[in-house]
Amino acid sequence: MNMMRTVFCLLLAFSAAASAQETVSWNSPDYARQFKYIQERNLYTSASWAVLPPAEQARELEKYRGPAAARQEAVRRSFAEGMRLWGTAAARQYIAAGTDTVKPVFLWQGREDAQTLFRKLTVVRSAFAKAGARGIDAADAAALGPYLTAEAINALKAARSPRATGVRPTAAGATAAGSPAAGAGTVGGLERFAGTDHSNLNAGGLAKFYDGQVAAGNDPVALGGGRSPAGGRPAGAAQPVARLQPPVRADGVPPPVEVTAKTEAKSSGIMPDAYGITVYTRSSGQPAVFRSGTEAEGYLRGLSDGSVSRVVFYGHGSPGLQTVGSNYDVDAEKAAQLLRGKMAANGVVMFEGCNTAGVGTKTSINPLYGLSIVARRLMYFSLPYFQDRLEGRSADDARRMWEGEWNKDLAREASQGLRGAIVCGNRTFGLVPERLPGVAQLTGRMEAASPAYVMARKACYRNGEEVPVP
Amino acid sequence: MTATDLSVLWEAVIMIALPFCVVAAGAFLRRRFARPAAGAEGAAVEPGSRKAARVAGQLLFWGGIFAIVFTFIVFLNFKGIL
Repeated sequence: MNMMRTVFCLLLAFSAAASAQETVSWNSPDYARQFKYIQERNLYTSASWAVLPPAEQARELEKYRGPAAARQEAVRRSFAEGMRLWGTAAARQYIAAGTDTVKPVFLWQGREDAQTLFRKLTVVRSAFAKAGARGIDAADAAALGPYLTAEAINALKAARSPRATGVRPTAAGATAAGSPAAGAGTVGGLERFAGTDHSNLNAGGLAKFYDGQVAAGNDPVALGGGRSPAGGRPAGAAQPVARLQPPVRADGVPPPVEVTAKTEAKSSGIMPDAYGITVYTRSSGQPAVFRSGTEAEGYLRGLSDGSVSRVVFYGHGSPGLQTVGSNYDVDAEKAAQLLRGKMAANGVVMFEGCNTAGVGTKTSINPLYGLSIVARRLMYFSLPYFQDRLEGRSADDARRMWEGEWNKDLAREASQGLRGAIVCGNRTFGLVPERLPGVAQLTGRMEAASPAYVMARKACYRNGEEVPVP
Repeated sequence: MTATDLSVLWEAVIMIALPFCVVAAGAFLRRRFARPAAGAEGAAVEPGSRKAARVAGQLLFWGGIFAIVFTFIVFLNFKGIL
């Protein structure tokens, strides 16, 4: 009995010590909402956050929980408003505000939504400029159909002068807004983007988005399917974000890329900062390894069809989502978009993150497997359910929502979008020996971009059907 | 608090309690079928079933503790603390 008491005391002491010293890392996914708010408002930097004591961090996160939720909701409403058909006045307001309406959407809702809004903004602005200069034709009017009301399109057709559109083209093709609302006040019911410098906002890779795309709105975009003389792309074309591509060889396959981690600042903590994307092609013995998800994306887009034999996404995972670092996420839809047609016959896509496959239905006597399922259910169903309830969501809604989330099977869903490829994930949490303190320092893999050993139960699918692990 | 809340709460409590139940069952078996003190009556002729129950108790007890510690380590590992 004495021994039992000792064991329980040790367990209690262990848990108390661990919880007492827990600090919240900058951009922790558990507090993504608060960190977005903090960064948008320039309340802290990663350096000033790191020096806060854990208790102070907890107080700050609690303090911004409500305002962050309100801001997120405001951005969501603003985006929904921005996606509706614009009348002439609304279009002028959006044009005048420029990318100020896109930035919060990018930060709070992600790249896809921001690109959608940006595309709309670009097409409409270009149409207004063209209408003011020489009028728009039937093809231009048709291109505006998804974005403007019929009245606004008719008004543009009738317009022949810059005064009529309120937007005048400049020599560089940029537009200057003549609307009284130019850049001021609220657009789409949303107050102005508060971040002063988008390059400081690393919560969603905002800087990359703007650096890689002509989001500043100063490049010309031609209507009617023609490319502008200065190299702008046709308006409305759903093209990938323009990025610097590696040089392409004669056979159409870009050469393998250096591991970008080599040029990065090394981790100074005791924990490894290991994540990345590894791409194996049929034509090269050496894999291309990336720390940056957007660089890997550019590389993959440049590869010819059927050339990828294996792709490994390495980082944290959760049901339905694989992250690669703090700025890059991959879900089933994105994986399908990124890799469709690129995979070779029997090519393998591997998601090396926790819980990237469903728990499955096979009976297992392995207690560790059972423990992992219990932990997954608690973390991705029970906890978020009660969090939602505390925030006022109805019980039925919360239950329905999280019942559908906790056992999401990223690998299976991705395999349905990547016909013919074998897509694998982990049914369990992955225990990574390298992540134990000191191990990565010893092995020199603090910034490893490819996984070494991940202790987890794997599952693979082809066209949605489970297949043996290759 | 709705019936849905209660059912979710009950489920969470059961899941959290599961490893502790295993430890408790192991502790019970270890005590119930403890090795008789040397020289005590029947110490020399202890039946095999008692030994088996004691071994099962040891497995459950230490396995349960291992499970709790392991879950904790995985959790800390997941949170980036370990």
